Amino acid sequence: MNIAIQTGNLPFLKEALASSSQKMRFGSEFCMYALPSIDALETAYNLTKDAGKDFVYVTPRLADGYMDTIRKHLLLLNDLGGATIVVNDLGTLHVVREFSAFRPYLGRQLVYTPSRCPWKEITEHQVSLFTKRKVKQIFYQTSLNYEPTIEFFKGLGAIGADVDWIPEIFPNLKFLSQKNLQVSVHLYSIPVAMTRKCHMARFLGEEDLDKCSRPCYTKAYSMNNELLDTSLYLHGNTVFKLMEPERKTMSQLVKQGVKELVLTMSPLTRVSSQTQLESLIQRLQA
Amino acid sequence: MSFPNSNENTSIPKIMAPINSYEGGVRVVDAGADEIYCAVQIPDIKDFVLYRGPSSELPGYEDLGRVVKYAHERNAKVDLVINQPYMVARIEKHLRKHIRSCIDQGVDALIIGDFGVLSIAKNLNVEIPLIASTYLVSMNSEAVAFLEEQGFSRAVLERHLTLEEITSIVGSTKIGIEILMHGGGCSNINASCYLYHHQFPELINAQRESNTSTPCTLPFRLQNLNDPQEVSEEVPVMDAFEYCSICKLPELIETGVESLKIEGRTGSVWYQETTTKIYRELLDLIAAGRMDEYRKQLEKLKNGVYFLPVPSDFYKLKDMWCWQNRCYYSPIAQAPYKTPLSWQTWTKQHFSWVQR
Repeated sequence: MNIAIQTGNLPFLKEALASSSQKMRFGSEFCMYALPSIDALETAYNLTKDAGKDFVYVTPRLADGYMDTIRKHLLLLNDLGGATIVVNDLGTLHVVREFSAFRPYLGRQLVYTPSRCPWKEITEHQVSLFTKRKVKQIFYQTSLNYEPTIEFFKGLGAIGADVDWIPEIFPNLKFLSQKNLQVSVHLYSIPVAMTRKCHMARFLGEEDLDKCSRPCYTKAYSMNNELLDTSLYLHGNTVFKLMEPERKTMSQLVKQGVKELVLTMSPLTRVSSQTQLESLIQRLQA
Repeated sequence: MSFPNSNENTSIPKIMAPINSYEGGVRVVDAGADEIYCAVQIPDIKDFVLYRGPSSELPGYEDLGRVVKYAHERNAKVDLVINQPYMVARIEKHLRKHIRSCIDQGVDALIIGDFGVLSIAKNLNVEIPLIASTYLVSMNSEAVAFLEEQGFSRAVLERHLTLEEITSIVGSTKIGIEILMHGGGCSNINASCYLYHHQFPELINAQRESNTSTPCTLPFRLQNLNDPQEVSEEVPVMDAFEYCSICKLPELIETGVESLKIEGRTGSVWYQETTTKIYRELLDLIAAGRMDEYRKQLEKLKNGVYFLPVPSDFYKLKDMWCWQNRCYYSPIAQAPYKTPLSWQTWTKQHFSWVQR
């Protein structure tokens, strides 16, 4: 099983490059305001290539004002020789298709996965066991499990898709692999809700997101309400739930044809150094 | 705030009003809706509900037919919401039948939020216009261009955009652009929110106990993971809220959008009708260039008219929106968190003699 490391800033990337991981994912998955500068992107690309590793550029959802930036980033990466681009926005997908050097990879925001929901037991209705089973079968699929949807995205050039570590959906991932779509499973953090306004920046009193001081590079919060029997986590503009990967579940993933795990370095996953990365990688690969 | 001068060339956007009953259809059309949008219960998959329960839908095709007939006779259109956020093979044949049944009743357009559902509509050779729902998260001109390529003739933009961004998107495309103008202001991006509102016992209980309708209105205890001493209690960190655009109408018109949507399919008929009527009157005043009357009407509304999705909640517009910076398309980063308005607070604010 390959383990790709995802980071949003250069100090983390340098730590990741020193690890045994062969693939670096660089960029911003959820926040348009945290897009890297063009210099940082070039440095990240060159550092990764110099280390003999694969480079993947991760992009978030974008408003119009950021489309020019992303276009410049894509032009740069095109000049540098191309890359896999994780796409979370239909507009970005539209632009990526203009370049032959890119391999679009569907990000988690383009793959609808109802079981990201943090509430545990589905169906409050008094329904038969058969109906409950039917509802569960629907609930634990992703939007890519519907053949016309996966064919639609493959027709647009998608070579792979990001999904979450939700063991109940693993049996359905085989369908994606059989359709020749590479599948990458994100470890630990499952996005439950995402905003543009940034709940965390607002809470911390950031006034202008264009000038945000990026508290998300160093902070993450647990979010609890006693009425809800679940723990949520706030990191930047996204609310997450956390899921600890189990080794026995990993073997299920291998059977479904999944070949890649993604480990994000952030205050939420509490992975920030090469040492922490290495011990995790060894634990996961054991 | 700037108001446009009387301008006969100003194209007034259509009002899109929500309904969930035949009575609602009749009353919003009479109140001045140009288009109405509704869903119909899908007979064979009604046990699978994530966001909006059966209370947001017409109960059957017969009601839809009556709504369509009433609306068409008064020159209003009816758009069908098929907002499945994703498709699965198991419900394909039911959805296919459902779309066909609704088209047979004469609906004017389909609102679609998933490419799987789009494939079904195309496969059925649907000849009515297709509208891209907020579930497809159109946030930029390129996304709208992409949706145009896929055959959509209108796109509903994500609600987290600025007026400048909306104007820029409208200027970049030939297809119609629709924006939300009033109602439940999801604090998260629709298609990226899995804090469902239905079908989960623990959630339903929590909402019942806290007297809220969505989990994003609940307060949370926040604790810094790297510094456990940093704790903040009772923070309504997601802060979902009702939004309003009555003062913003001239600016919304200037963006060039084709239609303005009132949110609230789960609302009461009273809410659907009142909201439609208020926006109709204001838009008509602007269209006629009667800006003084528009301003007077605004003041009257803010100080005296009460409307909310739940009729039992009566507050001044000022309390709900103006004093808390809850206008659609205003910067929210600086807005304070919602102040719960108990009747005691309301009384204190408005009748200072009570305190004396």
